Formats: sequence, C-alpha cells, structure tokens
Amino acid sequence: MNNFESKLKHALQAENSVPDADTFISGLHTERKSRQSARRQFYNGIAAGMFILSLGLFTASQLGTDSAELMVYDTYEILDEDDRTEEEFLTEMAVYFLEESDDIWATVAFLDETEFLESLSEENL
Amino acid sequence: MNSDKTDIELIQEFQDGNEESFNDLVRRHLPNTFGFFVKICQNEMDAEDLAQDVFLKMHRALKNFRFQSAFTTYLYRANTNMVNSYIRNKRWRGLLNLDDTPEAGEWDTSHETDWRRQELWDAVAKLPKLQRNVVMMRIAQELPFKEISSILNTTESSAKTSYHYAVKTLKIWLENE
Repeated sequence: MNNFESKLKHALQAENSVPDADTFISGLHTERKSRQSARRQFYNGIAAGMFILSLGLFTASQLGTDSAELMVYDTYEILDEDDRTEEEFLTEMAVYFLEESDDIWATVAFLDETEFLESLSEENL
Repeated sequence: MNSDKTDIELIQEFQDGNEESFNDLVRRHLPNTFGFFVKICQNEMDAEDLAQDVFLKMHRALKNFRFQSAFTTYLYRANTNMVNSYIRNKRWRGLLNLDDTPEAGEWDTSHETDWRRQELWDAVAKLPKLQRNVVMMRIAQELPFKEISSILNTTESSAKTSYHYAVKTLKIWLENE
C-alpha cells in the first residue's frame, strides 16, 4: 500500500508556477467589483419589478370590481346603446314615411305588414 | 506588507475596514491554494479561476468570521467544496460533451510517472464524496488526518478508514487499466 501511495503522490508532483500575487489580487478586486455591480443591478431590477407589480395591483384594486364583471357590464352598456339607436332610427323612418306618403293609411298598412308598430310597442313596454 | 502578522490579526484588521490586510492574507495563502487546485485541475487557468472564486467567497465571509476555527481550516474546507463543485460541473460538461478530450499523454511530463494525472484524477473524482475529500487533502495538500477530520467535521478514525478504502479502490482501478 505504501508503495502505491508514494506512486500516487509522485504522480501528482506538478511543477507549477504560482501566478503573480499582485496581478492576481488586482484581478480579484476587479472581478469582485464587477460581481457587486451585477448583484446591485439584479436587486434594482427586482425592486423595480416589485414596484410595477404593486402599482398594477393597487390600480386594479381601485376599479372596485373584478375584470369579468367589468366585461359583462361593458357588454350590457353596448347592447343598451344599440337598442336606443335602433329605436330612434325606426321612429325617424316611420315619421319620414308618414310625412312623405300621399296615402297615410296605405303607409300605416305598410308599417303594419313590416310589424314595425308591434316591435315599437314591445320596446315601449 | 504585514507578513509578520498572524492570520487572525489580519482578519481582525480586515473586519475593521483595512482592505490591505485581506490582500496580505491572499498573498500568504495563494501559493498553497493555487497549488492544490492546479494538482486537481491540471490546468493553470482553471486553477486560477477556482482560486479567485475561493478568495472572493473569503472576502464576503471573513467580514462575519467568528474565529471559532483556524483560518486555514476554513480555507481548506472552502477549497474542498470548490473542487467538489468543479468535479460536479466537469461531470455534467463531460456528459454534454462540452469539453474536448485531452490528447493522450498531454499531462505526462515525466517519464517516471506511472499514470497520467488525468487518469488519476478521473479515478479520484469517481470515489464517494468523503473518500474523495480525504484523498484530495491527504495527497494533494499533504494534511495530517487530525486536520482533515477537523475540516470535514468527522472523526480522525473515520478519515483514516475513508483514506484506506479510497487508496484500495484506486489501486484496483488504476492497476487494472
């Protein structure tokens, strides 16, 4: 065993040149400062991310309702708006037909055929 | 240069804000640390990188050093951990074929050397962790078993047993090749 161990140690005897201490120390401090700066940038990035996230959460919390409710609410608003526009359009068209027609009863019959009066009365209900 | 001061005195001065004391500590321990790494890496550039990483860790850690053990014990432990992570990384790089295989005989600079160092350290790297650590400290740093056991937080007899088994295993592996 001892012979084997001495062979092991002999195999490892390397003649290496130790790097110049002053150059090594200078490189060490340069690397340290560079890593310190990278670490600082990383923490700043995290802090900025946290700030943006908290700002986003705060803004969302100020809306009072969740996003799903907001979407449904907006959809109803749009539908109501559409109904009002259609009603105004139909009323204006009916008045126009009545004013422009020579035979008012024929116009009423026409409006009756198109079921305009029924739809107008349903909306008024 | 404060070469006449002890490690403890230099660390205390460094903790008080004297950066030059840290530099003196590096100057004092660089040859031994670099020598240990170069024996294992067989590559001076890798060894220098590992030495730099160890001293960078020391720069951070020594600010909170509590003097519960000798600085050399602390440094050897850091060196051993660094080598273990180097071996782990190298194993992964080997699996991923990121390193070129060295030319045969590249490390064999002596006609008297029976094995190439590369083969030897490949074999050492395959040993179980405790055995590997004991072998590295015993063969590459020539530390006494008492100090090895203190660095590895184990008993002296456990260190000796691990060394015995490690050498036995290496003998089988290397002599069968």
